[in-house]
Amino acid sequence: MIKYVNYLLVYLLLLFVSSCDMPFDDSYHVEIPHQESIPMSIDLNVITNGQTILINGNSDIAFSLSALDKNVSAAIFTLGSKKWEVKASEGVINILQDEIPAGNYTLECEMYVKTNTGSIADQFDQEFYYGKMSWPVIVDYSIETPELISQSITNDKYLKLTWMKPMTNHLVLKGYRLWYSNDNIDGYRNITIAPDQTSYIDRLYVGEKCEYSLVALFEKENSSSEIVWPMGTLKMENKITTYSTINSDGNILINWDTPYRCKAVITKDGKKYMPQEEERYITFATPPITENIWSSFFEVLVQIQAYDEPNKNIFSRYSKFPYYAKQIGEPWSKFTWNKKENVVYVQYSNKLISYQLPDYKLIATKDFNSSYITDLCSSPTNELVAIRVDNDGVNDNTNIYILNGKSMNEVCHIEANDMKYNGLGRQHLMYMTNDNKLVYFSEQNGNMKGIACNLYTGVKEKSFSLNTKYGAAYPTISSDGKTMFYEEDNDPYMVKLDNYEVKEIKSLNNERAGNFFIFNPQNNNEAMIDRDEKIYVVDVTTGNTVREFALPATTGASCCDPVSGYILASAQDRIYVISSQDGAILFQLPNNSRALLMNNYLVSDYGLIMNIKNYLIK
Amino acid sequence: MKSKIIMLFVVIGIFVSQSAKAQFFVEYNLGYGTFNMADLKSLLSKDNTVDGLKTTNNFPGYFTHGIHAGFMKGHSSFGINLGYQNTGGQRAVEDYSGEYKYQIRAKGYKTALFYRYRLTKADKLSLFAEMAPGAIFNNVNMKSSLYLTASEQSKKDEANLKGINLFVEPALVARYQINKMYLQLHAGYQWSPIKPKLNYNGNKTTVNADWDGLRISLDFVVTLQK
Repeated sequence: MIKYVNYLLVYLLLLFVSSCDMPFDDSYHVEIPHQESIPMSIDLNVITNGQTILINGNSDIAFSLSALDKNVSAAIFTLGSKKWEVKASEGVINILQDEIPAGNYTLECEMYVKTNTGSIADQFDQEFYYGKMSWPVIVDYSIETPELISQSITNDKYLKLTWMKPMTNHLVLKGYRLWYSNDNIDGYRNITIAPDQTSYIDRLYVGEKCEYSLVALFEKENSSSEIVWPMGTLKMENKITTYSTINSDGNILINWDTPYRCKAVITKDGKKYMPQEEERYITFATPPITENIWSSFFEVLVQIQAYDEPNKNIFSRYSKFPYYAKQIGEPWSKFTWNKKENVVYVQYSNKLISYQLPDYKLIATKDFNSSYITDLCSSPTNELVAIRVDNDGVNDNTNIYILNGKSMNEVCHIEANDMKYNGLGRQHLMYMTNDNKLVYFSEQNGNMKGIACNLYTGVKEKSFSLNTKYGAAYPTISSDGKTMFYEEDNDPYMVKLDNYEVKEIKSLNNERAGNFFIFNPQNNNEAMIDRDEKIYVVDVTTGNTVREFALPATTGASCCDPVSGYILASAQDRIYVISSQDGAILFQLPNNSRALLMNNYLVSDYGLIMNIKNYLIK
Repeated sequence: MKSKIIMLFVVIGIFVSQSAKAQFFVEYNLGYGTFNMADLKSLLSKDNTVDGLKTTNNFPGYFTHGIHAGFMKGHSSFGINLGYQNTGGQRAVEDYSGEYKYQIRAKGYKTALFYRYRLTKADKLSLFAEMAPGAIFNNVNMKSSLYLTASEQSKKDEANLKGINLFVEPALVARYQINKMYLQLHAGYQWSPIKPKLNYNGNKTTVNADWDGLRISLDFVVTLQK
């Protein structure tokens, strides 16, 4: 019995030792199927030269990551010292020029994809599939990258846009979307293009300024939405030209042109005209001239429509201009005309603008430092023009600029601080002569001097004194530089010059004030003196009056046409074109502005110009 | 506190035994208990730190250990009862990538007075009824651990909760005499009318240690004859 009790005690002891603390069960292992790695891929929207990514400025690189339908937890892009960490399958990394110096780089992308196995590490976001990819990169801010969208014109004159199909690893192309926009309120279109196309012919484009933006659309995994990648932008400058003008034959010419197929609709004074497709201009007869010619405007609307979709106006240009005149300047304009180039120059503010006649085509514009511009003149024999600029940069600093008449590049300039103050409306104080001189007039203590300068160098080569005591008005020199007139103390004088030296000063002894002098371009031996509503034609050899005729009442001569010699006479509210032979009135119209006549072009200091050739009384 | 109560019981016992000329006995109780532990079970079940957790242990019944020491005289026996009981709960999962475990181990240190009354005449086999009121000193250890295989990362959190329950344990005892020793079979039910919430660093928590349940033990008894 004792033996059994001992056994029991030993058993109880073992039980005691083993039973102090309850042991925990360790049967909690679970098997989870998993892979060590999965295939990953990345598509980049970049410009390449075939192998290498090219970056030439601030760039956005769109990317798409793929890993067997799994979500990408993170991607780390590295380019040089710059890192971008993104937590999405699609996105954009921004490359800023300030952050990436030019050079050769490697763009690396490390991808982390959550395993989604459900394992413990996965649940604690500590288990990822890992992938790494890299590409060579050239960063060169001086290179031009290839155009992504190229343009051409088809044989039937439609715009064709062409692009390269994007190369992708995993993205599936759904198609393209082409956005068109121009400056019109309704000027936008959204064009869907099938994925197998790499070009698009825009039959609605007629040459207008617009912008095309192409995006590629890719299928988005597990989503009905799309991945949108910019493919490029193409800016189209306006190629439609239109202008409306008064033709040299006096008719109104409406002109338009574009390299693309189109239809034009011209609306003039409310009436529509639809020219044939190939026509590029239309003319309208100028209505009979009326008294109110400066303010008789016609309105024209040029509308360019797509050939395949008439009634949709893609381009419109509205013009309103005088029937007879064209606005080429602004109020307070000054004009001169170059005979050799048939170019008219208009000056207002600090600008000098040249227009080619007879089409009034803008040639060039030149800006000056000062708007105190008081005189213009043009050479009778070559292409040069001169402009007097007062307060030029510095107060009381006067320069005469000699300009090439076409380009308006400066040929030379003449410092002319001694130039006489030009306070008289009709008065000119500088002239170009046909021996390539510019003569300007200065006055000191009443003594008027003429200074002859070389037109091409600006060198003051000669000067001559008129020995006036009280100054002189209306100094006027002939284009050959051999004769000049001026008025001093109410008397007109004729001066004979030889190589800009005074040979003779002859008083014309009429003792009547208000003399204004004009040389007759039709007859080198004649000059005309305007005084007391009369023109006295004098012989420039003798100074004797050879004939005279009356001007219309209350008028005075403003100028004469440098070609025809017609006299432009102005009253307060009317101007007249007068024959320099007999004083016959050839043309007249109401006018209350200063006007000039230049080769039958009448200009007004309102900035208007018109050809009156067809309106002159024969 | 615990030592003061034990000392009190010892002093009372010695005083009573000296005055009554009683027989002193000592019992070792190797038993098995079931435990309610409703709060701790609930707490354990709420741990869903990771998916796939499996409750491997949910505060099951387990062995108990105890010592009765007291005096016997006539039909009555009385004395003190010291005991140790523990159980635990675990939710865990392990896979190729790591292991996560959440364990709650509850330990109860029981101190009680008991009074036992013999229902039958003194014979080789006697039957007793017993009542033992007392206190349980709770120590609840909560531990979570995470280990990730690939990175060899590990993280552990641990907290110890403490508290005192008052209880009564009525029981029936069958004793069989073998020479000068006894073997006893002891069956009772431990019930705590007051189960205060456990404390963590002096702050009351929302859970208690509920030791209510059956108590069965096999006792080995020796007596010291005067």
